[in-house]
Amino acid sequence: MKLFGIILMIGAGSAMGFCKAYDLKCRTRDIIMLQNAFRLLETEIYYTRSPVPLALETVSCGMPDVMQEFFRQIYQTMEQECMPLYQAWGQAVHYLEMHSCLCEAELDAVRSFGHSLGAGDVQEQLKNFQLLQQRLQYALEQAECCHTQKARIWQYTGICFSIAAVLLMY
Amino acid sequence: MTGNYIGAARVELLLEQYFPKELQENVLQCVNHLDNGLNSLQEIRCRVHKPLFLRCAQGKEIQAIDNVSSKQMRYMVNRISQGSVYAWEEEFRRGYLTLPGGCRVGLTGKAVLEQGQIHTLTHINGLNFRIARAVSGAADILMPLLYEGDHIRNCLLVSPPGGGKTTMLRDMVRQLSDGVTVLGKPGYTVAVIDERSEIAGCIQGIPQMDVGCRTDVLDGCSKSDGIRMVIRAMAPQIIAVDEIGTEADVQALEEASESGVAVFATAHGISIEGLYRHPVLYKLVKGGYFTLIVFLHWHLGQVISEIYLRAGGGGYEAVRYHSDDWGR
Repeated sequence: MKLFGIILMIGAGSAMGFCKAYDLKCRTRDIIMLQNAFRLLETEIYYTRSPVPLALETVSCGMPDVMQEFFRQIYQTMEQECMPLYQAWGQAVHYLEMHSCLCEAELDAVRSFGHSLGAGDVQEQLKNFQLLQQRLQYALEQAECCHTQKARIWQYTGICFSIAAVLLMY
Repeated sequence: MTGNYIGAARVELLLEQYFPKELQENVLQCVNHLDNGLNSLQEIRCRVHKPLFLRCAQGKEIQAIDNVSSKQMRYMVNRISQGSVYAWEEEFRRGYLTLPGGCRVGLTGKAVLEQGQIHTLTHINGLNFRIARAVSGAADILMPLLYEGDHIRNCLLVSPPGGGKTTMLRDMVRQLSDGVTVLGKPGYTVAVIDERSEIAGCIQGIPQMDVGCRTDVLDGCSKSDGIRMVIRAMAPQIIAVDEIGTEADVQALEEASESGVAVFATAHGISIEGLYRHPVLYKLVKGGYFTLIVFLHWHLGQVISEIYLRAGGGGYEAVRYHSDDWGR
């Protein structure tokens, strides 16, 4: 019974550490996903000059589920609830917040991008996309740095704390 | 102008799609006092920090109580452009865009210039929603006059803005395209050069208004280029254009006439004398280009037509008419 308890405690502590480390890895993955999705959107807007709802619908096909749902929520809210783009965008960012490992830095970049999306001519849109990509690139570097530095720490911390807790208890 | 107005549903949809809730209620409160309700609505004018104005078909103007706020204006601009100003750059540059259903929105704001030319409009401060109405039968009274044996007469419709020229032109096109069974006339192939998407109200190339089954629509193309293009490509029997007024338009119309194509056009104006004084159109009028010139104006809530037919001496003479004369 004791052995079972020890294994359970060490297992749980290690899992927590590994989960935290995995979150850091997922953040990097999700930022890359954002970068790719917005590159596609930029191309769609620049070359076809499609309005935002149509461009979102077009590029959402074949994207990861989270981005597909994020884009789908925007264009559907605009069409079905007659909501302006900036409001629909703000609502959909909440979904992204809940269903991804993105942090405030990149979410804020996406949020502020939504305020100026579609609000000017195509050259302004290009600058807006460039700014977003720069902010996402900066966030990606931060996330990678954070992952390199902290992933192992979290993994070892999880294992060490659980072992320490076992030793203290017995 | 008589006929069946089918505008109420269109106005309701317009309000629902493009107006914030408070302004929707404002408009509905105002039109409650009108006999025809939403049917009689012709224009909705919104200006930032100013009250909303409604203009009815009878020329009556109604002022709403509440002012339009900057936030409400932003909402409407965002809705009409689908949050995508870049997609309507040309429309913003020209100062208007066409909505699904054929309604046109005029825009005012700060013009951004590039090399002395308007590049776009920003800080939009005024919107004018012009409600497109398909008035079936609007052109009934004119139909017998359009025929000269088997030929179709060149016709010019003239009125001040909002006088019903486009509505009349659209119905003429529809009837000639489908054929007028009452008069025993077959349908003709009609080409509509719809530079401002007002006649057919095309969205992604599909006409939203009924312009007849033998009608080809060239949407968003300049009149002068469009006329030449359709003559070569579509071999129409009739060409219809809205709001002529430039040298290039006149030249293209003359070329069309030489090709044996009948032309229906509209222009701004109030009298035949005014047309003779027009810096460009006087050439067409003096040269007797149009066999038929029709002036439309509102009087006591009805559209009154003054019709002029080209006389033998080159001038024009007024035609007395009554709708019963045509046996319709």
